[in-house]
Amino acid sequence: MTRAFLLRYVEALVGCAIAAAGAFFAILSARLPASPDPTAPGPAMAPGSLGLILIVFGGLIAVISAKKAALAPPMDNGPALPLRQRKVEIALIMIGGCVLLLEPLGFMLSTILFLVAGFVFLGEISWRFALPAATLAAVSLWLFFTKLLGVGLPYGLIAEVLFR
Amino acid sequence: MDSLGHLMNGLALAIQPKYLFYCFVGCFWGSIVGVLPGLGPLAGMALLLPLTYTMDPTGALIMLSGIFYGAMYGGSTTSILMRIPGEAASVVTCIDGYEMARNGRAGAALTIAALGSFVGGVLSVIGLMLLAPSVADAMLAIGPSAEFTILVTALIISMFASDSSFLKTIPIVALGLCLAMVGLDPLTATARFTFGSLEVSDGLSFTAISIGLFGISEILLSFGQSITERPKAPALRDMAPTRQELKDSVMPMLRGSGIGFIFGILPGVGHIVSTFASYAVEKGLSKHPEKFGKGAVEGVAGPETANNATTGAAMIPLLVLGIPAIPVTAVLLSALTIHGVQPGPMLISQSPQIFWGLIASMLIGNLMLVILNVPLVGIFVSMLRVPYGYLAPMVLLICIIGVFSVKASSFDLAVMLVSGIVGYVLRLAKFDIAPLLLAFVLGDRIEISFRRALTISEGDFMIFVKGPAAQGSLLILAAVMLGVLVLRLRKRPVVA
Repeated sequence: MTRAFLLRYVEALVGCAIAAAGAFFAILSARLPASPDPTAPGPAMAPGSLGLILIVFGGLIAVISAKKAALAPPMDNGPALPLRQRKVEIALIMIGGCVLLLEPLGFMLSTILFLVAGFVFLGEISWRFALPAATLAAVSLWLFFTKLLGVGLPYGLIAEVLFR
Repeated sequence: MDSLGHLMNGLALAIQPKYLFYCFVGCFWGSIVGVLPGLGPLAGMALLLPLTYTMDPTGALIMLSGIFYGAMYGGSTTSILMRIPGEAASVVTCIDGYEMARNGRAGAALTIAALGSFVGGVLSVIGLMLLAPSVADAMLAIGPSAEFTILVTALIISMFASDSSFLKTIPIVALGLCLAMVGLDPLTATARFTFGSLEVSDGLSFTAISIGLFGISEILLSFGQSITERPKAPALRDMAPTRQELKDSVMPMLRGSGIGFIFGILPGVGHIVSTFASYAVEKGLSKHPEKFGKGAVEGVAGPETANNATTGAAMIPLLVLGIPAIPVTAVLLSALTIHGVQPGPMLISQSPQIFWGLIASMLIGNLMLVILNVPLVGIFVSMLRVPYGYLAPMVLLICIIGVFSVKASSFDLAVMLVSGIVGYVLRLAKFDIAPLLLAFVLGDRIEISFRRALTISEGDFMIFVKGPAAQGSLLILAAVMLGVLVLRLRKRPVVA
């Protein structure tokens, strides 16, 4: 799917996703146990009903928006963006990487990697400047959060094995 | 003890060094997030929320509230100097504030905005002080059916106040309610949508969802925008407004305080609409409406005052009813519940130190902000010169640390990432995501009160319209629905 297609049909695609979320909640609610008191609603009633609302409204949004988008003038794909300008994708990959690596690598190492990547790809500065800046920032943040605020941050498996 | 006595006790608490420090940190951070385009009060509060876990509830509330009204102050700086609203409520200030700056009156505009914010903030705190105890007394007698009706009314009003069409807002609210139901059922302890995971049994983390929806998505959207104008801070000697400018600002400030206070109480409407209403009123009452849009000082004084007057008013539904009228107060609600404090009618009688300490700190904080914002405008402006590409990785990292520090859980980080992507895509598709967060916060209580009320009535749905509290809230709902429907039928298509 091209970028122009995604932008053109973004509302319709979101409508489909909402309907799918509704189906998820409605189907799983049907498997929940019934209320022990027949006059009182059980644990399935609210999420089941809300799931149906999501299906109906998600479907409506998808249909109405798809019709509107089909009638709209075609959008130009534009020139392909170089990797460095795809900042949203880069930021998401960086966060995803940090989520995966924070506990195994520990705060210090994963933060330095995260900030170097951020300064180089999002800030577009040389890694020669990015590396010391990231190290300084990581150490400052570690001291601020752990020593001043008493927040527990992970040491990482490498430090655990080597120093404990 | 009367209100004045309680206020004195609150002041004695608020002037303790640690509370003054929390208030200062909140106000300063609030001014920064208000100044920086893309970071509003909600993202600012969500980022510092985990830091409040080591504080007592009064300190946490003082600091987070400071961010809220500090951001309202800070938002005017970029509006006036660059025609870029630092946060949504400062959009109106761009019109005449920027024109005043172009006419060489930037310093005066900033001072009037700061003074207006001070007046609005202080008057709204006085309103909160006078109104909240009486409302709390009236609310003590309500049962689960009236609670359900009031909560649903608040949610529906926030839907009506949303930027998006009903077609888009209804499923967003339903999604927020569904997400609130993930975890153990509060009445039967049945696991819902947990897939056997213990981490999900406690429910989805509010911090992860709020930082993802508002913090991460805001940063992702900011990559598409660029700031080309280099702002220049006015010299300190140019900050003083003329006698005529001050005289012209007095009545707009007083009217703005009233408008902001009224709009601040209504769920979802809040600070943004109040600024537009104040601008419209000032233009309508002015003897020279042609000056508006060309640098009229009333066009800065009124909206900036209204904007800050909503902060005190928004605390009434939060502290007295436990209803967050806007997403910002949802973060405050979350902070209080994390500390084991349940906002509601009993708060004032059971935890007077929290309520009156907050009121006193808001009075002190508003004074602090005038002192901070007028002479230090140069420092705030210099932050705008830091390229966003340098700031973004640091802000993203603080988001990650903030979420991780709550439960030391990588699962919460994954929830934050998914919420960030969902928020980004929804905002690209022009969905208003604020009602989702409100529904997520209120979902638990709505479901519990709904099921308890039906258990009491043995399945009779008429219980939800019986009693003065339920009928009163239904009347308010009907009035708001009618008003908004008329406005929407005149102006908007079904799909925005």
